Amino acid sequence: MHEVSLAQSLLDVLEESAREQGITRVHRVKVVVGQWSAVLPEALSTSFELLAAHVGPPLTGAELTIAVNPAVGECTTCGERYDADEKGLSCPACGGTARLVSGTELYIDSYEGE
Amino acid sequence: MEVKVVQNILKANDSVARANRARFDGAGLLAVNFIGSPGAGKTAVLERTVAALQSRLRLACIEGDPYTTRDAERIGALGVPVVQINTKGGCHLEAAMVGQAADDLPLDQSDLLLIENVGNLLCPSQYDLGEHFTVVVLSVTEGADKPDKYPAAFQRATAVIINKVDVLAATDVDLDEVTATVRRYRPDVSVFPLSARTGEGVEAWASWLEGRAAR
Repeated sequence: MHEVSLAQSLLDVLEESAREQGITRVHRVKVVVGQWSAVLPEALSTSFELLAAHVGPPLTGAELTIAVNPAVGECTTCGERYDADEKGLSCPACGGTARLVSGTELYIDSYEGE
Repeated sequence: MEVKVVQNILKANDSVARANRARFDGAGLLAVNFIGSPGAGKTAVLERTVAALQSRLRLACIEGDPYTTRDAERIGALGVPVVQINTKGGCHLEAAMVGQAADDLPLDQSDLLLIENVGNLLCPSQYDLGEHFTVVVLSVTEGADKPDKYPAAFQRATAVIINKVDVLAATDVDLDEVTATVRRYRPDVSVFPLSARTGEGVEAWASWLEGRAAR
């Protein structure tokens, strides 16, 4: 349960960026979370909502949207792309070794503000 | 207006981790992050590792726990410099904690730094501490399906230790099955079945680690 400290880091990064951009009010924030990032989207949302209600401007009351990126494997032998969350990193088509091409992300994509 | 950021949420932690790694590189030591469930036997594995390697390498250790200094006392009793971090309930170590703890260790006189993370297979997998690689300590009593439940931790592991093989017969776990499940998430992983209790399998693991530290 490290989502509260993640939400705090998120607010810190946003505050710095908003200051650099001269933004005085942030309305919406879009974050991308990978399926294998060990982050619970619901817990991150709740933590963010709680913290954002109590921070000063420009982040007061900012809303968070989370996009979950699926864990996708790509076989290094036959090139097959598939759902790694179901199959892990051995290719379901040929049994070869796959690498993860998506699923461990944890980043701020963008935000809207004025 | 919309501002495109595309920045890692943990960038503050990651930049401290990079500084830690540069410091470890400068001191010429190998830093290893041990993660695993509570009760997997991380500290017992470290005790065996220290006993096997302390005549061959100069060791140092950082112990992470929510509370108590018990683990540091166990490692300290073997004569190795050790610092205990208490996270006061926190579920993982962060790079800044490790950087502070490292201030109290003789890094320049060490070849290998063993970092025992807080017992937890989820949160520690998200935080770079500045280690050179991660080892997951799993035990046969946890069942064969842990990697399926915690892919983030296993995906990160360069080596996986399967501890408590001395009680394998008392479980329904098949070692080949555990190994196959582990490899599903990291096909090139090195797997070391061992018993920290009896010492079985410890030498193979310790020699492997020694080889990595000597590079």
